[in-house]
Amino acid sequence: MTRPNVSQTILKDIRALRLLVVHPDDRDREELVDQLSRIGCVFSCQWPLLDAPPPGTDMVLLAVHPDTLSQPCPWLEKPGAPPVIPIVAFENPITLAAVLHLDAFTTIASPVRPAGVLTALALTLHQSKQRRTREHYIQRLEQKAAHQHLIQKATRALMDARRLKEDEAYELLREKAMLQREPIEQVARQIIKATEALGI
Amino acid sequence: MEPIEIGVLFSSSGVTAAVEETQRRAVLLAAEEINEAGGVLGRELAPVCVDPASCPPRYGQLSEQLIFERGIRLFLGCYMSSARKAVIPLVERHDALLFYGAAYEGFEFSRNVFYGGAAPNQNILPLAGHMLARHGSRVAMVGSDYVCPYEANRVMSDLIYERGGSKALEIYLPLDATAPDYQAVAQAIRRSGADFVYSTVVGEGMALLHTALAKAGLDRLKTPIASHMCCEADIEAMGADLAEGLITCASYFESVQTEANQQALRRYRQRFGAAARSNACWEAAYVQTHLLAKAIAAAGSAEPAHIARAMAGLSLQAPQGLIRVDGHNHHTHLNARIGRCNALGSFDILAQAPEPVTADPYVMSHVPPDWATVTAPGSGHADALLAVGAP
Repeated sequence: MTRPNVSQTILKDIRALRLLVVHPDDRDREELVDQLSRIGCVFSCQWPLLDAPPPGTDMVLLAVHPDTLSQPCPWLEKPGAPPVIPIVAFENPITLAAVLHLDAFTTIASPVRPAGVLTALALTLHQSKQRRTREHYIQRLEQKAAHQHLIQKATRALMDARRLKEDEAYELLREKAMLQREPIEQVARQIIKATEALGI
Repeated sequence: MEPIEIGVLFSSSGVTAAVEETQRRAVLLAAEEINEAGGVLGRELAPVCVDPASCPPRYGQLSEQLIFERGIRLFLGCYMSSARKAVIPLVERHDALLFYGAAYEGFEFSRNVFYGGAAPNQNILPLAGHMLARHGSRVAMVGSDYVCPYEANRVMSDLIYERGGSKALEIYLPLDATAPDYQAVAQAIRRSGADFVYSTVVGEGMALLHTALAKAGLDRLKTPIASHMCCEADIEAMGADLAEGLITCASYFESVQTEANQQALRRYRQRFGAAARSNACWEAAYVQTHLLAKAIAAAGSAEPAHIARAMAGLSLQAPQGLIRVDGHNHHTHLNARIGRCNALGSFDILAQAPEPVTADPYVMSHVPPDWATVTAPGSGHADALLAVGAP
């Protein structure tokens, strides 16, 4: 028996998304918001985008417009920035460069047609969730690697100070952490600090 | 004045001809009614019928031919989704309109299409709610191998899991599957211990499935077959004895007691013989032809762009009851009824939505409506069935 898969449950979130449409008020925007309301999305419109999307924005549909190509998007660089779906009318290298800068998963082509908008939303939702999970995982790995480095340094200090073998030194460190009810990297940091102080 | 030609894309041959032939006749009937009443804008409606032979690419080729050779830009037709998808690029490219009169899987909008049949929230959802509430939640799913059955089963599966039920099996058969294929499926269904069978088999496969299930010894009173794709035309093709007990949900049944239905049926039988049967797709084609004429009259023009604008918000006392065209998503607000096939091959209505149901072609999470799980008073037989297979 098969259970409904994850990608299917993600689709159900589409109507709960808070979308921001950053697009000049023209025929493309009309076509886009008509289709968004058919799909049943929650959205608001802005043009141009002044500083940053309002807090709580889950996704931005952004016109990559010749008039705003030079406008910087500092909010894009911030951690937790919402994913962007560029709406693209031109395919010249300057516009393409602007699109690449948005780090998008897919685009909506101008003139906007109703068919394809739902796919763009679904793809972006799915990929951005996966990207977030991946980033989180990498962060955890980096942290773990940094801790590993501390633990190794502390183990070496204990080996030197107490003339212990490596596994004995590590065991000592672990016991100390358990006794103090602190994370092992915390205890390692104390030992390194103490050794350094003694060294001076 | 020159007549207004309409391309009619319904198959008179091939696997889905039984239903499509009734749709073609419905268009002819409606056009004759319109013409007898003086036509529209003083012009006659002239249906130009072609036979795509139930072959999806042929719908595209024939519509293109009618566009190029006769300048036709108004079309009624298509039954399977694959046929509609073949025609849409052409009507979009040539600024033409397609009136599509069959229930389908939703998730579509084209400026150049008007959808006259049910979206899943208007038929699959009430049917699923009804079956799961009344017959149990261990379900055997069997369907034809194309998009509509998969989408219908997605809706059904979600509802099954929400109530902690289970799928007894899920099988898809090619459109040209043969009797032995269906016999193997029927054996598997009988062994599966399902509370009911949810069939999304279309066309000639329905008769093969029902025959195979009967042969496998499945008691349709204990383990009913539900199918939102089965209508009076399919039942006529397979014979009422094979279909008795089948439960479906549709916007229209031949047995609907409205003034408009009595009149339409009377004229239909005068024209096509006393034995002529109607069904939901027949009604949709009939209604869409009348809507088209109304829109032409309201627009004062037979230009597709003008007609499209005039279609928005049009309403009509249809054989099924009051309907209305949604100008926003081009679908139609329809009535919804749960029906059970009787020994005469027509449907006894078990439950009915209190008012027309708004089409929501893009809904993804489904909550079945209350009306579908309650049985109408007087349908005692369905109450007797309640105990069977209830969880």
